[in-house]
Amino acid sequence: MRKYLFVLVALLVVATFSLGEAKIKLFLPPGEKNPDVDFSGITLRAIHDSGAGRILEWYAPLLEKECGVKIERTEMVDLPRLREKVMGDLLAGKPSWQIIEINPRFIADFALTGLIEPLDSYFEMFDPEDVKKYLDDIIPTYREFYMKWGGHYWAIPFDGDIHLFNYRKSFFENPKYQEMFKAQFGKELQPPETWDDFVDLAKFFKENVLPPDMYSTMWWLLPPDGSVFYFDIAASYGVRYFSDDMEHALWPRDKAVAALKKMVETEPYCPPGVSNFGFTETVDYWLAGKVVFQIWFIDINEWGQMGQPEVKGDVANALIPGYRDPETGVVTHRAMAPYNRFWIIPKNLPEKVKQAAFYVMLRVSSPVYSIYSVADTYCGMDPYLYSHFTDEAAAQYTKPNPLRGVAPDWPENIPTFSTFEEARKHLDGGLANLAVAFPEINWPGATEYTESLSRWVQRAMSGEVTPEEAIEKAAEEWEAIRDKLGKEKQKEYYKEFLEAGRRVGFWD
Amino acid sequence: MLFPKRMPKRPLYLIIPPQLLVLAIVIFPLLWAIYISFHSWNPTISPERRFVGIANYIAVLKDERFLASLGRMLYYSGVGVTIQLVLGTLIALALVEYIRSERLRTFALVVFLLPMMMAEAVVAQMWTLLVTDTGTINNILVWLGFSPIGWRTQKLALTTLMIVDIWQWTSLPLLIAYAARISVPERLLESARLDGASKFLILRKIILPYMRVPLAIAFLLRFMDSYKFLDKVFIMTYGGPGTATELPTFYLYQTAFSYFNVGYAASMSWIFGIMAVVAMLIFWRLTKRA
Repeated sequence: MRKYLFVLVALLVVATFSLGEAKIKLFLPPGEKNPDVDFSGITLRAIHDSGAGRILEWYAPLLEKECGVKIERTEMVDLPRLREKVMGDLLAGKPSWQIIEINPRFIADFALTGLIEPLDSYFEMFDPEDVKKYLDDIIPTYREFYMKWGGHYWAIPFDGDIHLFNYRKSFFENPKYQEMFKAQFGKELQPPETWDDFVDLAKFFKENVLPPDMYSTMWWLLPPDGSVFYFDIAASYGVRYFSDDMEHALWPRDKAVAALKKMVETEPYCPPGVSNFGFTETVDYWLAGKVVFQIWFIDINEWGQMGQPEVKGDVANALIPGYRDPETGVVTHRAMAPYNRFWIIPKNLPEKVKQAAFYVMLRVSSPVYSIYSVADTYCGMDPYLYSHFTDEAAAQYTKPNPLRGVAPDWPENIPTFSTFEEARKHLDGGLANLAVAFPEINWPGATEYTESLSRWVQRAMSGEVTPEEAIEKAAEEWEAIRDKLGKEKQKEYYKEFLEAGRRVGFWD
Repeated sequence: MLFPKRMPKRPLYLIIPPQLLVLAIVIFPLLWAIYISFHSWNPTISPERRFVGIANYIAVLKDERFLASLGRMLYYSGVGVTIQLVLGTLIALALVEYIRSERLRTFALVVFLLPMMMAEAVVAQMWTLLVTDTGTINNILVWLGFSPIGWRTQKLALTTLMIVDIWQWTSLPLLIAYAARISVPERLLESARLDGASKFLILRKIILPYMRVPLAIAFLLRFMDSYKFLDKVFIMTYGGPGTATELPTFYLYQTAFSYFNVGYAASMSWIFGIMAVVAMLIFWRLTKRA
């Protein structure tokens, strides 16, 4: 009897200790008081790039109701200056912000400084089932390549990006053009299946249809992003950043050259000076109705709703073109998933503040809030969760955001699309391309690699060098960068990158 | 003797705080940059600093990208600043010689000075819109029957930046030249005219010698400015296409704030700084000799 009593007491003790603190529920409705959390007296301040919007301020009253945390006005900085500003601030030792936006391309750069907080232990604040549900909901590319690095979670997504083929419907659906195209090329006028089709379309529209001040296509080639757009083609050709042993850059080299040649083939059908085009030019030309199709981020479809009358309602997207293997006939598509916006937390903060920051980040990242953010035109958020692609999410694109009002900084609250069908097509295009997503470089040195390749792509597109020369020179520079940053370390990082790719089934 | 005997000592205490301030915000960072330049330090690769001696300096002097950017800077500074100086001087002389009305002359001067008062970033954005391939300038050229010009192409991009800089900064040599010209004693000019000297002779023998030192200072000021030329490159071309408009300052910026190769950037900045000092000393000596 005494033995049973002892066992019972022991069990009670174990049960008491294992219960510990109550875990926070992640999926409570916005603004509902969270019984397991109290961050009263804590004030948070974030830094975003100027295109991100002020979502934390939109939701500040609701978050305060939930847990007592206060959120100050977000600091905005031009995108090219975001990384340097944040890095400088962190290196100075006293962080000015508790929530920091970065692009995942720099995740390793920040992690290696030792100045940002790994987030693994913070997930433990929340109900494990909720955490699992949330992590399973994240598109694998973002979860495996951009949230994680070196075996730890470092960042929480609040904006997902993917490249798509974007086009003007009226040009592709015009019966006269369809007839002309079929007569000239012997195939249907439709979004291109391969990069060869892409070049044919560019040639057809510029030579047969368009006035002198209109162009078939264009590319964002300004460093450091030009390399990413080149990789939309190269990755489909089977080009990897390096050979598996990391001995050879841009490998297989002949495929890398072929991909750049294909890109250069489009140059005559692009606006003059395309080698200098960046964000501003590619958006301006698109919204002004000067270009028929282009590879761009998913946002352009939403912004198309605000373009010139001829553009408004005339934009659609489709699966990015691919490369047809001449032997098997199989077409491989690879859409780059570059840029994105993720939040990180600085290390040098009181623990309670870091917990509050994590709470806010995870709540706003979860579908509870983000299903409204991604559908709102007043911020740069795009889908990154599977739940952002549901019919419920699509319907939200046709309604104003119910979680915010209006203010001088966000003077309107209007739907993005006028019909559910438009929203559904927009999301279907995104999902189709996410299924063939290709990650950007996420290991230390990402900036130098992308910058270097971009400049050679620019040179090839402007005719200064041949594609062969450009790729050879870029590969030389990449190998020099690899050696400069420490070949063995770089190999380790690249191995990890390849393993993450295998985990999500990108390559064998 | 450090101080004259009759100089009261007490005011000396008053200059200690500003001296300390200068020490803190100017001298210390310079010394820190020297210290860093002897180390391999990239905080995005490892928080640790590794002493490498003069390896960074040797690497910079062998760095083809840096040397090429120096070549571009020599072209940009040499040609660009010279044009600014000549143009500014000519306009200043024209204002004095050909505009008799004081009010009209002041008005013209103000108009010419306006570009200089605009922020670099604003000028860069404005000119970006003007020189895009379908921008205002090309539209005017096409309207006049000429072919459009690729202002931001490989061949022309640096020259375009130079033109923009000339447009904005000719005002400074103009202002200095104008001040120098009106400071030439009128009686000297009058005597020369009475002696039957031609306008050209007066210009060569009286006006230009009077203007030489102010013009040298104007050249030096603009040369120093051109040395830290960054804003327009950043906004208009981002160093491209390729590296066609990459000047040392932009490459330095990239190395320090894009690649966070801090030790290397520090050594590059010191080499670049020493070059500037040497260039200015040579220039000053030549001017004095002249």
